[in-house]
Amino acid sequence: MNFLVVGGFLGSGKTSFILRLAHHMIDDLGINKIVILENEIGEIGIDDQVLRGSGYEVKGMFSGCVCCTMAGELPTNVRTIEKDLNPDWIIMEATGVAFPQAIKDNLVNALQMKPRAVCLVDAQRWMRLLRPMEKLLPFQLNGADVVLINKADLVDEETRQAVKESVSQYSRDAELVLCSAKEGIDIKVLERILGMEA
Amino acid sequence: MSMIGAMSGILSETDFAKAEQILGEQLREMGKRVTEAGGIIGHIKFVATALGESCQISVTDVDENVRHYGSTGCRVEGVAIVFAMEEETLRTIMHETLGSVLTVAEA
Repeated sequence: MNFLVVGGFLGSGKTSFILRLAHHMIDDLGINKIVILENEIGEIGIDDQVLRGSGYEVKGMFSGCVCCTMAGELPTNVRTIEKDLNPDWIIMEATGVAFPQAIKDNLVNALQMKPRAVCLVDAQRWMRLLRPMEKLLPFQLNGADVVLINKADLVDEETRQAVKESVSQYSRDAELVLCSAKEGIDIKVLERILGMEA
Repeated sequence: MSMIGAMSGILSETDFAKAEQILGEQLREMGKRVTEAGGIIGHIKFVATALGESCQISVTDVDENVRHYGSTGCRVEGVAIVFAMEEETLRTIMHETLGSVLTVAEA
């Protein structure tokens, strides 16, 4: 069973990306057994309603953030999903304040898994939020195999390059991709996120 | 640290397009006031679901009963996640914006 952590700050486009990725996995790659594990902060799950409304079976974890307060529950939930559904992939949408590296470490240590991670960055807000959120945003990039600089179509070229340069300072190992999750993401990029293409 | 404000209630507008417009206006105002108060918006995200009519049909060997029920308008629920803001300030902003147009509201 494969595992993908989808991280990124609030409003970065994680749900739109997951919808795009899931469509591609089902329609083009023939991967039909996918579970979306939804972790939202707040007592009302909003993104899970959107995903369910799009026809997906969604399991929610809403009592806290899966990288800290719910860390112990993640391996239990993953084991349960594996036993009950045995999917080919679990795609986990982390909360907008989660650290994907912590989630990966948890899965590696508790379940000896080899999870992959993608982190989304909002091209429109990165530069403005970076300073006030400097203890959160840069660290959310840790552990990502690919960083998607999302909503790149909504900013000018100068901003695109400034964001890319800024992100590259915090995420030296990950592949950086400018994209628009709503408009479409190159299939080859999606496959690299899944580790299916060298 | 983040501050999370949750709110749910019924928007009595029966035209869904108008309800969407009202909700959008209130959420934009909420965001504007959060920013003006020095807060940083994580996200403000609400779902509106149109309510409709339902019916219950019960049948016995001698009787059939149809009961219609339901309500019109939209159920609205969601959260505002903000940073660098006191709980009371967020509560006040939510009540004075979206809360002012919901007939049953809690935060």
